[in-house]
Amino acid sequence: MDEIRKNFHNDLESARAEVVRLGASLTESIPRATAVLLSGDLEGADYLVQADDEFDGRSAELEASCFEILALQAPVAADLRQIVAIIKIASELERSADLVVNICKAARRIYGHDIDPMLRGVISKMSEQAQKLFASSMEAFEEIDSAKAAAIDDMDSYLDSLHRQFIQQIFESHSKAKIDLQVAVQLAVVARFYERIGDHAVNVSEKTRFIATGWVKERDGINRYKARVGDRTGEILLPRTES
Amino acid sequence: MDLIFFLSGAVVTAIIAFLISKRSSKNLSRAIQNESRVTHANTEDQLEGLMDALNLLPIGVVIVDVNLGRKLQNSAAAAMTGVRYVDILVDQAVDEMLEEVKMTKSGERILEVVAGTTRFFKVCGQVIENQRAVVTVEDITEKSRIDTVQTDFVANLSHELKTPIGAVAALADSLNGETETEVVWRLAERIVTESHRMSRIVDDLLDLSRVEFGGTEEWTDIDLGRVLVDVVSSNQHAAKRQGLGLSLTGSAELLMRGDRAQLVSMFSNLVDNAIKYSEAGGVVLVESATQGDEILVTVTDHGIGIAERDQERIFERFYRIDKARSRATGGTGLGLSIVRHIVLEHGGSIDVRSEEGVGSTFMVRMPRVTKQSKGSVLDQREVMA
Repeated sequence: MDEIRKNFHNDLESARAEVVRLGASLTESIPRATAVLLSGDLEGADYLVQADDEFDGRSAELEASCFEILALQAPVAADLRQIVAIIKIASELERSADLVVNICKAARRIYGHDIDPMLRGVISKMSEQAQKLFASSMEAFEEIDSAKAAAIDDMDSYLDSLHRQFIQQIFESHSKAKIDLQVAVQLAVVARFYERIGDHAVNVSEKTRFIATGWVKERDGINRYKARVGDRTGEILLPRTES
Repeated sequence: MDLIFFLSGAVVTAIIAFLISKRSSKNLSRAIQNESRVTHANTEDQLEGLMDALNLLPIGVVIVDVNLGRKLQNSAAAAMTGVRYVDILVDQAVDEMLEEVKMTKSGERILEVVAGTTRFFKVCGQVIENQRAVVTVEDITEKSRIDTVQTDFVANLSHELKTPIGAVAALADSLNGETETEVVWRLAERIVTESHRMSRIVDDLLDLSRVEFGGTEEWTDIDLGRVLVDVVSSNQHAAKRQGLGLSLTGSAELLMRGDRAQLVSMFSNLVDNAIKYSEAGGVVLVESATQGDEILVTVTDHGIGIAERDQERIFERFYRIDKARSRATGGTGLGLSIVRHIVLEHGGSIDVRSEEGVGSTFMVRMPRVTKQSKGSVLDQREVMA
């Protein structure tokens, strides 16, 4: 391998390694935020909120290094897919880290209020499942394992069902006057954060499938649209002109 | 003509000399190659031996040549925990330490990672001669847990004893200048309550040390089934008062050796906890069964449950999950610690499975005395039957 390509592959490898590291930090921060929420740990909340700035900086740097690779090395085929996917994954990770921060902020808002044990139980389960989703999704990315990545979507449906169960439980707890309206609303939002984290994990796994096979989820939708309106691909891609 | 002869002679000599020199240089280079191969092989052997030794260490070791950027790590460093994201974070801490020691020559930090429970890793770095650096990683989770338990024990013990002592002192002080009989009665009653609390704590501590240092002299053949019947029937009243059902099911033949009073106290403690932390309308279930050489007793409730992070700490002395609630239920914070000691003293084990809002199950396993191994217990049972 000549020197120029070697540098290129080293850069690509560093970008991949940084994605894996950011993913590991994120995976670890999910149960951390849950502990903050369930134990009302204000100090822990501050720590996570501040740690997010570093996370943002790292993901921005990662994106910048990918742009540089694109501009200077003009990668093609699998390498190009990889760089494009990393840019997209970086923003998924960054957004998920924001959601973790949101959980901490909610913990601050409900500080001092007791959470019904039934709700605490479901929160723990949601957190565990969201973490499992991200851990698996990052493993699939690290190994570029398309089959493992494809399984993440199914894992997400369990998190979705926990989310529904949680909302139901909030109604029940509220009707038994075991929970304040303010806390109920905050917790409903928190549940949504976990559910969204799970969705971002699914998005990461879709990008892994894209790296491995070039598969794009949206293509299913495009095909459905084509079948509905006839094959007028040009019209999908271009805005319709007013006649 | 002479000149031609001379020249041709010189050329032949030169060719021969060249050939000889080429051959010898070939030999020489072959010899050097062989030598270096041997040296290389020796170094490789030595390195392999070193790696074998390093791989046996429970501590992660990473050696880096700063100039060459070559990294050598033992198997503990390559996979510290087996949990991928934790290993990646440990790996990152090692790399950060390597960067740090380039400037500071040596460094140390504690890495905290939340993985189910919180784990702690000590990462130390040191630059050694020839621009090499060594970083070690040690999992100090257990060590820091023991430190926390010790510190908490002393703090909790002082707190638990100081609270009633303080209350008694304040009450006695008020009593001193009080003349109204009704108030005197009320204060005296409070003093009695607080002294009872103190004496309960001291009793529990004494129980604990008795179990810790007690021998097996008091042990007799016991039918654990009968112990459970006694425990359940003596707790029926408390359960009913709380609006709970308390039932016992399971195998009748549960023969073991042990201290009956301790076993009664242990299961009473578990059942009492199950009742305390359940809500009205629920059921507390005590089940027993035999599994091979073991007796398995489970106490299940559908109460508030225990968070995962607390599950491994509830058996510690004075550990309280919710301080306010424990005070309300009147516990001393020593119950489960005594339970665990009694179980261990009898050669058994105790586990807890729990989910918040769903309930908890405590599983006690005890070594069983079989018919073959213990005739006397069987005889006793036959007499009783």
